[in-house]
Amino acid sequence: MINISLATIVVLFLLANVAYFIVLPFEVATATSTIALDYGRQIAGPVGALFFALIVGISCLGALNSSLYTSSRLVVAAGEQGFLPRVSPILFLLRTAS
Amino acid sequence: MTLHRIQQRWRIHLSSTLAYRVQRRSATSSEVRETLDSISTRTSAYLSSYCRGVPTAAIKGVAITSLLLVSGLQAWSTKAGTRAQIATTAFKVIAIVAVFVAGLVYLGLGKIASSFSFEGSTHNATGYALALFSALWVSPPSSASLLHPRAFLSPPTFLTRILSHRRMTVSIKQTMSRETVNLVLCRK
Repeated sequence: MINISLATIVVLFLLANVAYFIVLPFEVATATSTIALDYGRQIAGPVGALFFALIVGISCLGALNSSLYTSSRLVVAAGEQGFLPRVSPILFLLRTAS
Repeated sequence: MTLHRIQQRWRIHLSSTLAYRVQRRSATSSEVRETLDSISTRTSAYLSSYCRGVPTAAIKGVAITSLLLVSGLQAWSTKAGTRAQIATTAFKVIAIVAVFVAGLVYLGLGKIASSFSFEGSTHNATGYALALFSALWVSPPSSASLLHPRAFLSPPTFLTRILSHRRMTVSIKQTMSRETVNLVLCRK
């Protein structure tokens, strides 16, 4: 399941990048730092730009959420294995016991 | 910190790094100055386009609020955190499919903005070396291995493998970076 989802995401990202280059001129697509906004503006004007700004905002929140989740879980696991001080698993155990 | 100060710091850092290379590779001072100017100009242009006149306090405020919001959600309930992740992931997949579909519609209308013929591509090996060097920083391999999905299933089992993988990818990355700098300074 994980392999299928990873392959799907890779293909979707590649297709999205091709879509960016279809809609935006090469010079704009390579120079801009907000490609989704420019893409939305080109497709549907200011409404499209606002829509894609919201999409990017939600995407950033999701990335932040997953980073916090995975990094803290791995710190706990590293503490359990002895790679890091054993304070982090103790905190985890205290939280689950309460 | 102003963009000018960032640019100055970049120059100082790169000067100290490249000074060693100059001694070893006997590159001319004009080559080094040209490389430094190119990198510092690109950095400041990137930063200025990234900020687009938005006050720094507003950017930091949004970042801190988001961090507090997500941290509070995770601390309140782990299940709520995972459900939020499922929701945002589903939203992202729908959004990226929408990007592709909109591109298809644009293609169907016959309005292709870019040429895919690779006209005007450089034949200079230095350009490709610099592109490779830039690509290394887009998504660090160490982060990718750290966020391997199997780590979710059994973190203790996979941690040792992940750490050894990270060590290997970081070694490869450093070797490639060094060779790229050598290529840039020895292009003539």
